[in-house]
Amino acid sequence: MLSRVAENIFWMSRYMERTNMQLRILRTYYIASQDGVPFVKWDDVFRYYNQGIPAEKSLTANEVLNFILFDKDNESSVVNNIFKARENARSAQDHITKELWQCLNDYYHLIRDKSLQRQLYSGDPVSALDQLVKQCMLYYGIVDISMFRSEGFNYLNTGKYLERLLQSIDALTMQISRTNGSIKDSMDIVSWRYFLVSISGYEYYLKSNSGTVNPGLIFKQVLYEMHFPHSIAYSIAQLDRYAQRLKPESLEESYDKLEFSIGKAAAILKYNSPGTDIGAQLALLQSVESNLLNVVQVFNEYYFGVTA
Amino acid sequence: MNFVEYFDNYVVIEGVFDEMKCVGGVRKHYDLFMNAFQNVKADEMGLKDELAKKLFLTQGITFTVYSSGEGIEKIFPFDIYPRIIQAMEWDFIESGIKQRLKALNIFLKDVYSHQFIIKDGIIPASLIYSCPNYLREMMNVEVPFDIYTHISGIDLIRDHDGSYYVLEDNLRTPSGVSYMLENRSISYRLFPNQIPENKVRPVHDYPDLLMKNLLALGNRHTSRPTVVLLTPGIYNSAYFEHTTLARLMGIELVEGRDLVVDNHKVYMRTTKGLKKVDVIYRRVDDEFLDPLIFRPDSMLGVPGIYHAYRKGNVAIINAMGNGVADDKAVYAYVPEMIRYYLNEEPILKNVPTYRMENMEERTYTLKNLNNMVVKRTNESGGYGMLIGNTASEAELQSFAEEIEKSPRQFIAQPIISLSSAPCYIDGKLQPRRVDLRPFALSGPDGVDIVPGGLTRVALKEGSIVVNSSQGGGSKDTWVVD
Repeated sequence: MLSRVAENIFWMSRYMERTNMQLRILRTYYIASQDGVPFVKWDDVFRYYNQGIPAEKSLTANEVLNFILFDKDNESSVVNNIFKARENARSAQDHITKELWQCLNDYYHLIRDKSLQRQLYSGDPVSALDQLVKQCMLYYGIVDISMFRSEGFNYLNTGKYLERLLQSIDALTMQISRTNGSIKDSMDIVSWRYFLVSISGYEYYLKSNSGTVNPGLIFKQVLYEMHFPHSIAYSIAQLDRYAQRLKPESLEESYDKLEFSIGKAAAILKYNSPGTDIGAQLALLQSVESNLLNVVQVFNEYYFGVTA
Repeated sequence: MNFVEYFDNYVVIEGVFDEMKCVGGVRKHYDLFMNAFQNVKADEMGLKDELAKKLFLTQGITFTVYSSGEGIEKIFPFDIYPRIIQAMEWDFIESGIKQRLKALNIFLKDVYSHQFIIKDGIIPASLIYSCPNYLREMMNVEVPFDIYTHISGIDLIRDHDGSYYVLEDNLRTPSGVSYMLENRSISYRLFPNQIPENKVRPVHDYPDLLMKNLLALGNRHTSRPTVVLLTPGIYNSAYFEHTTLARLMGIELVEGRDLVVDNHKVYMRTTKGLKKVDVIYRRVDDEFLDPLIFRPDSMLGVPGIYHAYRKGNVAIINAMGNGVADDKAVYAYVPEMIRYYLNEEPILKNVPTYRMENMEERTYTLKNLNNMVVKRTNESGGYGMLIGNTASEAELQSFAEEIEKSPRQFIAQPIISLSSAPCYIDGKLQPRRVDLRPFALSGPDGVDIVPGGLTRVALKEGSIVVNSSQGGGSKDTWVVD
């Protein structure tokens, strides 16, 4: 496969995974704000999605959502993610299925649809977000059903799990920082609950832990639970699985580097047990993250021919 | 309103040949299709039109128009009402195109080797050497199977009496074939059962025929040649077509930056290192193909590809230098070429063409500029053109001055009315001008022409410019037995 095309597929997948996670987090956050929980601070959300730059004036939830979803000047907006995913898909059209291309093309037209923006601004934002999440689900379904299991599919999945890992680590780090990794009052319980909802892990947590909200157990689930598809351990295992499938199509040196970098991230996760100490928890997350960024670097250097 | 009323309200343009309607009513080859729609209601036609637009948008069937330095993606306008051609007429077109391509191909071989046609005084040497698309670099290059024009699109029009004329030969990188294929796939959905019932000849063989020819060219070197399609990239106006063809043939779609030349061999950069390329179907123009030989600022080409080609290590399709044969001034000589090389009378007529470097013809043109179409010899896509009867005084004046200044760069033709075909516009059937671009594939086994081709439509009322960049659209073309 052409290095350029491999990179295009990898990034298409990353942008789509990012979109999915962003949408779910925003949806949960908005619902929480309607629930009247005090930890929801839209100014902080704006700053986070505006590269740390605060808003000039206080913004309403709808204004912030509009900025994150539809603002083309905002580099990390959802509309830009989808645009970039579609552009990458266009460049790799001969390696993805027509159905997949059409799904991304539809997504692009959906998010540019003025009626959706109106719904967000003056109607029900949850319905607007639901429509966008649904289109993401359609994307995943089409990938699963129609994509041939060749090299492109492996790049698609390595991109997806790498992005999921980075997004999950980011979300957990923020949650720990926000609550100090503990529960001081009932609002912290609500906060952890919404956090689990945003990463699609609430139901699983309830089933596994009989309804008790415990930050230590949540941390454990998000890091180590192999049955939870957003956990770090699960995602690293999937990343490794799809990376292994690249072996026959790789140069020996390239694959060695890739195997080593993924193995190192997995080993750091496996052979560290931070317990309930927040400092150790955050340090572990940071260490795993920096090793995952090394994996991205290996892809860039050895597979995509991108020079630093 | 039902379809009968649609038809009754359809008024042909005076003095223009209409593809569907003649003095006695509907032409015979439209009968079957028309009968199937006797009871179609007005809103159903509207719904079909909406459906077509939606399908084009969903499938991303677009082209890029450049405006203020920015690429804007547009849907290629599609008219739902097919243009129907009877088989007998098509056979005539087919034999005419085959004859023409045979002569043009021999001309290219000749002009880049012995130049008999110049030595025998059929075409002036100055005309060839002043053509910007004549490539001295192609002199005496051995071209696989002596085929230069592997893929060509011949633009045909019909005058008021219904006779066909060749308007232009496109022998470099003709585009539009993907729209031909997509138009047919949309027609299936708009008019269920009509395609089999009308016994419409299929067009879906095109990618297989093209692939067969590409593989045949690579077989000189290896039994399993690597074929790629070279695109200028996603911002090219025909990018949709490039991806469609690459997908349908199952070949890699590469950009210049994906290829590298080492020791006069072409390789592509893959995740597993370099992989040799044997055949390149390029959609990059000559001047951008190799920055070491042609434009040094080109970012779209591959340094060293020309020498790899010259050494016979890679086949490039179409051959470089074909622009000399589809130059608009050389076009005027094609009938003479046919007589000279084939000793036959041309089957398809040329539009009468006035060569501006000829003083008498120039004087005549300048006197009658109002009734002429003036074209730049090296432009295409409907750009750089003057249509005398609709141009302003200032435009006429400016063209007259430019013609005087550099006559070789212009040709003039009388304004041909172009036939009209019914189009569904604003809820009514309205006549609009059309041309026809059949696509021909030349390979070691001969020339194949897919029945039909792309009918382009000037959607603006009164316009005769069918190019997509100038407000044109397209419609499906049915060849019926």
